[in-house]
Amino acid sequence: MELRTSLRQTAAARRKHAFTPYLFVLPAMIVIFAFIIYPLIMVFRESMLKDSLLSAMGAQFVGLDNYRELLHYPNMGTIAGHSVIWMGLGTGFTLLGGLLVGLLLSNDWPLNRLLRGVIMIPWVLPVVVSATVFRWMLNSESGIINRFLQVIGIIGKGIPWLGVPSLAMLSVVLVIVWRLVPLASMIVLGAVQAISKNYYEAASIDGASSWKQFWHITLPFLRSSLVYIFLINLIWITNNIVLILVMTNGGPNSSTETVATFVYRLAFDSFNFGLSNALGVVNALFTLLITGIYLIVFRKSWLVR
Amino acid sequence: MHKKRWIWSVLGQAAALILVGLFVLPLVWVFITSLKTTAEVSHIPPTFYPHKPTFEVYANLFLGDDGKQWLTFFLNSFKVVVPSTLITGVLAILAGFGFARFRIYGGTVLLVLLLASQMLPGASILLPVSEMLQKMGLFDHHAGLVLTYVAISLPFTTWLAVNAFRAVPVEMEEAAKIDGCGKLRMLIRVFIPVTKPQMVTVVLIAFLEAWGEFPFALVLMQTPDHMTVPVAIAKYVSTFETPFNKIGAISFVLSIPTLAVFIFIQRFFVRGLVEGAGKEL
Repeated sequence: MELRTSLRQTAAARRKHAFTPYLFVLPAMIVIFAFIIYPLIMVFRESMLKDSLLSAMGAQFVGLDNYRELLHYPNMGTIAGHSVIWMGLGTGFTLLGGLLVGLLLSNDWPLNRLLRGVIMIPWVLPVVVSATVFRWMLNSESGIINRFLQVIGIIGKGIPWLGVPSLAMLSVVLVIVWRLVPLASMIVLGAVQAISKNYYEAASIDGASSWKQFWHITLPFLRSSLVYIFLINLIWITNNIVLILVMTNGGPNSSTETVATFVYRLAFDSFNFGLSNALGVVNALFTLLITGIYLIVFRKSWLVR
Repeated sequence: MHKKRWIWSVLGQAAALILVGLFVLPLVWVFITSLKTTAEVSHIPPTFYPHKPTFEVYANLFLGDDGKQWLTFFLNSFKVVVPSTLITGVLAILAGFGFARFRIYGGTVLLVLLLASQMLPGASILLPVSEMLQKMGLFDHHAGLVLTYVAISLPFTTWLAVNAFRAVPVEMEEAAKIDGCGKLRMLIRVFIPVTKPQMVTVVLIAFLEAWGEFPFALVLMQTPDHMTVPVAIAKYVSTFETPFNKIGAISFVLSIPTLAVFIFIQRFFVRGLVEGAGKEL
């Protein structure tokens, strides 16, 4: 008697409880759908319209015209090139820097405690502050960096860090690397510290050199972290417009204009929404490609078996 | 053999020292600049330290016409960041718990979408989001910005929560169930206290993402009176001739919450981030 009642209760209760997980998950997912997924769909749709600001009225469907116009846009090739340099150098230097600093930190040296204490400061500082300060410090006349170099005799006249095209690109790359290396190093450090010392001891006993130990023990264990750092920084750097907008605003002479900043510029400086959305789609597709790679590579973290 | 190791450690320590300087330099420079007099700050060539250090910019920060503007900007930032942080925290923890401890039909798809949204192409959705908010009547309105910030911070914070809750041993959940805990109570009484470092990280990340955010604030707040501090700093630097000691002071004040957060919870913070990063290959 008791058993049957409880079984019946369980069936009904189970039906009610089936909804519970959704209650937990839905609020967050609704917001994400509304403000991230839906706008992404919107970008695709509106990239095929002209004059999409006047949505209901006057927006004509022009198919892939916007994309064709983009291909022939005056500076498009150069801007794409800048993007490649920005992404390549930024991600490369961050990965390398993160690896080196992470390895450095894994040693038990006294100064490392200090470094570990201050290392996340670049990451925590608001990007606007970092961009503004570096723009100030790199000023050719009133910047402190040039003054320092002059005082210690390395250079005579001030270097126009942000005034010369190639130097400007280098400068913004270095600043974004400055900002991203801390997190990368901490990830590397965490991974290195997780490697059991036994491997190294065994290798030492077998007479392996430090370099061989690094190559055959450390690196394989670091592989997953390095891939993660690479992918996530690639996306962050590609889509970062704050640093460039505040430091150089794409200049001088559009030499630091990337695809992402150009998406912004087309929309909010030139008010060419069709083109902006089209380029936005290109940017989104690239990002989605990298995201896809990330999801495949790290499928163990979400694939429920 | 020992000599070689000694040389490496010296070189390494020298490198570490340089790195410390590099990472700390801009913050220190901002502060030093804010202590200079307005006359000295525009002096060329620039001075390495303030010859007559003064806190006058800080004292006058919120005074005068200019000052009242900045007070408004700071209030705007608070108005936007506090609700975003709270809402994000609650939603992320709820959703994280849902993903971690329930079997959801279609859960894998949602989880994939969640992960994918971490890598959102922000630049691409600036325009659609602003159009959408216009249609909702929330353009140039702080509520619109709050919603946007919640959306931006949710993916990563929810992911942190998911990983945190997944790591809780099943025994604890079983014990709570035996004690008659419903799922919600289990979350509040058991899971959250057990994963406190990660929970703190979730809230802090939500705060950081909203506090220093620039692109959406720039685009979505058109009326000057609605601007948040990050946007105001950028605009005042480029358009007005605001002296750099004042800009430095404002930048420093803007950085104080982030630094305070960082100093007090550094250990939890970094551990939470690192543990959420790229395992399982």
